[in-house]
Amino acid sequence: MLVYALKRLAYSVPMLFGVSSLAFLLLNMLPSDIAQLKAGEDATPEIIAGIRESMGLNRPLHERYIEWLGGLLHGDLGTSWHNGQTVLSGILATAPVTLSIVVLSMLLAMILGIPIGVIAALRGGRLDRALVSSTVVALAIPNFWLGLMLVLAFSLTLQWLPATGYVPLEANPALWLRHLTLPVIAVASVSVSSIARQTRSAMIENLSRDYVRTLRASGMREVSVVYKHALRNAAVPILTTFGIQFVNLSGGSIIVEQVFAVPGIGQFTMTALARNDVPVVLGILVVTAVAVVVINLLVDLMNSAVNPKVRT
Amino acid sequence: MTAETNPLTTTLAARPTGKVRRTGVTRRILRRPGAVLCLAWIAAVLIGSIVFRAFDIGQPLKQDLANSLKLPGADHLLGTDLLGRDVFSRLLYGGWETILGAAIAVVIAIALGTALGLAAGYVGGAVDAVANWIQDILITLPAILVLLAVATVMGNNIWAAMVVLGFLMSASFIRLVRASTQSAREELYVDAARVAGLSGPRILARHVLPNVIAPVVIQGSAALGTALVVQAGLGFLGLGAPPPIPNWGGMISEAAQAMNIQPWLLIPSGMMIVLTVLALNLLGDYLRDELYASRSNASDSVKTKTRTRASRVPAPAGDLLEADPDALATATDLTVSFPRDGEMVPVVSGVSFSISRGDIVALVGESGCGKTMTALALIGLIPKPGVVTGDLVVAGQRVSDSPRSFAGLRGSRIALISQEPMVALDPSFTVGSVLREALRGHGMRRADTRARAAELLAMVGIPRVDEVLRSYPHQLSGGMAQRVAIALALSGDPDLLIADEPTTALDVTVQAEILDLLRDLQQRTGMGLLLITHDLGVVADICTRAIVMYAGEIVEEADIEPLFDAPQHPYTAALMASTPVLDAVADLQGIRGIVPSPSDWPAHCRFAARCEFATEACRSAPISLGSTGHGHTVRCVRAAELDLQPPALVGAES
Repeated sequence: MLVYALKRLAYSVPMLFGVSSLAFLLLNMLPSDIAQLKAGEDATPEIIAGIRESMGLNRPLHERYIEWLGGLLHGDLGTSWHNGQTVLSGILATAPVTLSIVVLSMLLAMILGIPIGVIAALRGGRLDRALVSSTVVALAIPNFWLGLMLVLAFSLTLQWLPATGYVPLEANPALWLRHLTLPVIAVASVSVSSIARQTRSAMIENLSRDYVRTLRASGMREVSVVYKHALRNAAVPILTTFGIQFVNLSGGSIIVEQVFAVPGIGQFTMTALARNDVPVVLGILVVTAVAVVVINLLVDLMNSAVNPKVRT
Repeated sequence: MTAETNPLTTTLAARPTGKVRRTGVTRRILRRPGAVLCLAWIAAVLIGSIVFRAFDIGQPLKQDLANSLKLPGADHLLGTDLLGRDVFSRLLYGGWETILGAAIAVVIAIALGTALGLAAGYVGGAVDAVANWIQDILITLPAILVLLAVATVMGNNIWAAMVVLGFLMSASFIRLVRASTQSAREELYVDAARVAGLSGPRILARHVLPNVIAPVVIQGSAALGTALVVQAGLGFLGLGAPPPIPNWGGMISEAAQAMNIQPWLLIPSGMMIVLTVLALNLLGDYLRDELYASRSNASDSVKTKTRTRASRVPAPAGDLLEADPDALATATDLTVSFPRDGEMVPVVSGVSFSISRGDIVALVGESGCGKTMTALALIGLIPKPGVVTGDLVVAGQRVSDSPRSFAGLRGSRIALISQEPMVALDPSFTVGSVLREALRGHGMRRADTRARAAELLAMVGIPRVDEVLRSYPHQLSGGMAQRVAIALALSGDPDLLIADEPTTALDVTVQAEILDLLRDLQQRTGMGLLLITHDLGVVADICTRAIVMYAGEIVEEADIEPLFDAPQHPYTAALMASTPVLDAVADLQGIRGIVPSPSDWPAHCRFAARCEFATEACRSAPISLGSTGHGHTVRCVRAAELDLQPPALVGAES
């Protein structure tokens, strides 16, 4: 187990290096003159040169890259071009909001998706077809539009839940949940469907396996065969999609935050975009990548706990 | 950094892509109304977008503030927006940018993904590792975040964003093409081509690429949907052609500003995206269904209403059994059918037999004769959507097709061990925990299960019992796993044990051990044993009676000695003749031809086509099972006149 964990950890390091470097190079090598963009259309060459100078853009790329990487290793994500704040402080201020949405969405996706998938697999027939069709439709609905429709129904018409805004968890848990309910539903919808589909196919596959026949033949109760044995084995492919789900939910949150005016990473990104604040955006990319790599690591470790073949 | 990875497509990547039926896919697709509807919608949106863009129909950019936020009507098919512009024409006008953007992304993703995937799958080694690494990196970040970062540097440039999206989305194609290439590579013809001296690139282009195209097209359809949603999301966030040029996401954003006054406005733009993405996803599903039709076997359409409980049709006179009060299991006119091409096709038809305490009955025949299905029907484990009819009495209890009716029987009265011990045990639990759970299910107190589990393992001849109890199945050898499976089957003290080719998957040396164990256990417990095998040597060695099956029906049944002394059915004789005599494998004569598949079974003698003694009479009518005395039954019209020579097998045994 320990050996596996260390091996898996060793793979995460080049991953992180690769993603961060790719992000840096992407933002610095695209054919664009960021100084020109920041200065505006009718800026004089002197102003543009001044901007370039102040941002250090006139230094060679490799020098900037090495310096940036060095900073990264010390947890220094640089400072905003706009207000001189450190990028890290901006991220730390907004990340809890986005994380709230992502974690709640993940929980919702599990709580709804896994039972839906199991029921569809077990019952078959018309119920199965109905559930599968709903997931197909849900996968085609853009989360931001779903968010707007939810606002229309539950905020504007029924007036049950707030349409916009955010209250931190530590300030008032009840209000926190009320404000996040609709955004979470909008973000989670796609993940509920994919986890349901994944669970369904994993359950169908496992229930047709020889070991299930052996268990049934030995007189084991059907409840145990399905929920203890088949579901435990189906957990591996379901868990494996969680890394992908985390990426999807983060991306979903970034858009949906705009619908509900929730001050998370999405809004932070949009503000930085409007100001062409490259260090901020780069920092967000790197922090997200770290989060994803860590989640994938945890998922793999969980998988190895569930699946004895990985462990030994 | 892939987009909201479409699960419709991720499942596809895992699918092995070997045999693909390519003939007439287009025609078959066009026969499915749903697929036609999807295609029609996509075509209508595409053509509409091009036409409206090219000819500026309906004045999508013209403001008319006097007529703002109108509901649908004669003038404006889908109403007007905040500035009084016609929503319908704006949707189609804006479709151009949305669709073209998504198409650019997908084309780049396919080109890049296919190239890298082919290289990784074909060359393997370091190239594969690098491609894998690239793919892992590409799926690490949410696409929308990367695209927003690109926009931070590039400004509002939707085309640059779409190009980057193409790079990100190539990840799923790398994986898909890599898997397809690897499997195509394994195929014989590629090996043959390599031997013939074709160069690498030519092998790829001629032999591998064609196999990869189908899955790529399917995934491409769904990827287009994903790209469309991402593109709309960017539009919603304000990226895209500057106003007043419309795009779908931007129109939703405009509608959101007016949703307090005119909520209707959200519907056209939203539904446009939903329906188009849905059409693309469904089209991918339809394509996959048709291309891999053999796999999904569109047979589920058979009305499951036919799943009535065992119909008590009186068995034909010739197949009647004398009632046996000691019988552990009695099957009368047992038929197992599976739906295929819209009708129920029997794989076991009208089988009747009985097993008593102390019997060791062999069920023999080639693969595909229905031996396993007969055995599974006996224990109520025919997989869905199979249907069992006929009369079945197990342990004095009449059982029906419903799973509940076997509840008190399985494990305690009748048990099963199967062919592949390595997959027959739950991989996620230790041997000990499964055994103890089974024991508790048979009513044992928890505290006693540990000792009994160890006892069972010792009984099946396992050394180092404690170690095995703590082991997971994958840590055991095949023979050891089969012993564990036997211990599990015996955990409820069954009266009848069904062993479905228990040694086929094992090493030769282990085979004998397992058979010895089974015989030994049978002798100790006096239980009935139904042994499915094609090894007639084993049959002669340990069984008391044999049932020979061919093409789903019993062709001969007799006690061992009379059967081997004088087989009555040509098939039995042929089976004996094709069994290697001890080690004299050299002169192995097989039976010519193969067992016909269930849908091809003739109404007359099913063996006639392969029988060297077949006459007109064999091909004119169904043959019934007739008795030749002393419990010897045979299904052959010429049984009386033929003098089938028993092979040397029995002689060599004794």
